[in-house]
Amino acid sequence: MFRLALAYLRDRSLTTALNILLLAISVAMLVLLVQFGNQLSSRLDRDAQGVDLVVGAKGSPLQLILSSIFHIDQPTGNIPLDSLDMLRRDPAVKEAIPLALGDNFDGYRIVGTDASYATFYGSEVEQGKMFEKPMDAVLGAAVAKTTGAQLGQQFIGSHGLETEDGDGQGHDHAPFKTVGILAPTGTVIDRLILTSVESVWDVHGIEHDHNDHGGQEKAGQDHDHDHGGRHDHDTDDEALSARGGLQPELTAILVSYRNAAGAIRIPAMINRQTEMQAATPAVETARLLDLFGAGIEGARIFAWILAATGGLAIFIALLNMARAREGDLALLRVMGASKVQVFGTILLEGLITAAAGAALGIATAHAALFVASRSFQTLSDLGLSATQFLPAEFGIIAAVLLIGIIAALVPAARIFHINLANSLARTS
Amino acid sequence: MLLEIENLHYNINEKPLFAGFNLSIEEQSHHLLVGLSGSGKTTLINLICGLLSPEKGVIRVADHDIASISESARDKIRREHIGIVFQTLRLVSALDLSANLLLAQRLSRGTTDAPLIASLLERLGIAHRARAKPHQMSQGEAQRAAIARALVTRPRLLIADEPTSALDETNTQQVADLLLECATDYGVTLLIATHDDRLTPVFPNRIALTEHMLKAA
Repeated sequence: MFRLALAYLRDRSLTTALNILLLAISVAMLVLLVQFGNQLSSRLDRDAQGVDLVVGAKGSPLQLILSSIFHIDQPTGNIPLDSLDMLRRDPAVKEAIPLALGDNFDGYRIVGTDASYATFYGSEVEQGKMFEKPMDAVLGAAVAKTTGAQLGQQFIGSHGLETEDGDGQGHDHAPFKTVGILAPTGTVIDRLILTSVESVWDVHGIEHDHNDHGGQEKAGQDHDHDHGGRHDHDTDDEALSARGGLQPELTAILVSYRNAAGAIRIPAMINRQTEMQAATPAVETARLLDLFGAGIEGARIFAWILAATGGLAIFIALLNMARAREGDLALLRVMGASKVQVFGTILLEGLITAAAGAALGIATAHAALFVASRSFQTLSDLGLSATQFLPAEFGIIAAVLLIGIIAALVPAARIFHINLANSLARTS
Repeated sequence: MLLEIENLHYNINEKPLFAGFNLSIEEQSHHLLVGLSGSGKTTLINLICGLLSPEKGVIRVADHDIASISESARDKIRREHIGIVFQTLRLVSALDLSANLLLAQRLSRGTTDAPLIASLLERLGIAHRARAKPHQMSQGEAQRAAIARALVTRPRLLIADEPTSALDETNTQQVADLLLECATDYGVTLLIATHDDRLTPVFPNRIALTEHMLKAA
């Protein structure tokens, strides 16, 4: 009877194809929404794991989190260098990691920090070594893979988060040298270029003492610095020192607490007693997901309405078919098919249509993810994966199959009410 | 006896069509069931096939009283013993001729017999149309295909309802000859309901339905 159901579907191939297409569109939409929501959420969770607090310049706390943890927004400004020591001295702070942001290479953000940043994300050096000297750079796994950079190669950073052709803001005077490549971690660090905080200062011609930051070696250079355009990085707001030069500052500090007391005291202290702000990643990511969630929920409802429309189309097609094919159904009964067999054949038609729609929808959604993650930098930065299948997708498949069965149920049930003698009298 | 009808009563719109009707047909004998339109030929066929239930009486097909058993049991008797050919309803529309015959065999016996299908199609002169869909066949080919569908399950009783009414002279003669030859070859008993006089010379036994009484001509 399976072959018979297939033959009937082939017999009205255009209607079948349109019904499959309608279901496939709704399934693809649902899968994309589930994938996007899920991967975004897990990505945010993964990148923010272990970061209890981000301390940065006053402004939007969400922007601070997006720029300092996920590296998908501009920084809010700069904070004094001594704030790092202040936090490190606090007994409730387990770890405080400095960040100096501002430049990128080929769209990948250059992060001035110290070696503890890589350790924090569980990242290990796969090739070469961790940065030690000024202008040493260690590439994240995705950066190395995409740019094809090798150890020893030099590159020049540009301002901001994105490189545009002819922006004229490259730091030609201070090239970075690739000294290491990190192993992949599946976190944001894969898409970053790590260097020392001092390197960032040096690139921007900021004078600093050798003891400014963690006792690391400094070049102490003072470069001529003419960007000739708008700066969208931390150095834009750098305060001038009394001598008229730029003061060494940080963009943000990632903090993890030693104990729960820190969570109560430190944010309050930062927000009330300093010119800085303290943003909690858990709160801001939840807010971000809520913002996305409203949009996603609306789109999800629309997709389910589309799926129901697909079901209705199957219902109408099968109902019309059952009427037009009354003679065929009667003939099948006369040939010896039981009512249950004929009922099952019509049900199978609905089920096969729904299954084909679901399969096509899933394939389309994953193909779209594949293409989108390669075509759009933002989606690529979010780490969207086309090969990841989620349990929710099986739920969508089951729901669509159920829609197919329900749509076929009423037309199929007509077989139990057909008066064979009357049907044959009308059709034979 | 392959078919025995005793004391059959059947009403249409509360008016009696059959009242105490009796009929006996022996195995491998061939009969025409003749009568004017509305005389009850099709109704009698539906009763014999178990598609209708009589008010009273016995309809015994291959020793099974099809009138007094459940619907599923009637399906079984129809599957195993009866082949039916209609005037226009010949094949399942979505399947080609070959697939129709395979489906008929599978529904009837649970298995398929490709050599039998091939020999039947050859015998009926439509082997070259095995892959044709019903709508791609001529009237004559389609009616021969319907005979093939009915015979391919090796029924003991083949009932044809107006099998030649839609056919021209040449096709009528061919179909009638083939029905008779195949029935003889495959050991099938024929009962043909018709008001087509062109079949009279081919089938010597006639059962005439007049005033709801059986009259053997």
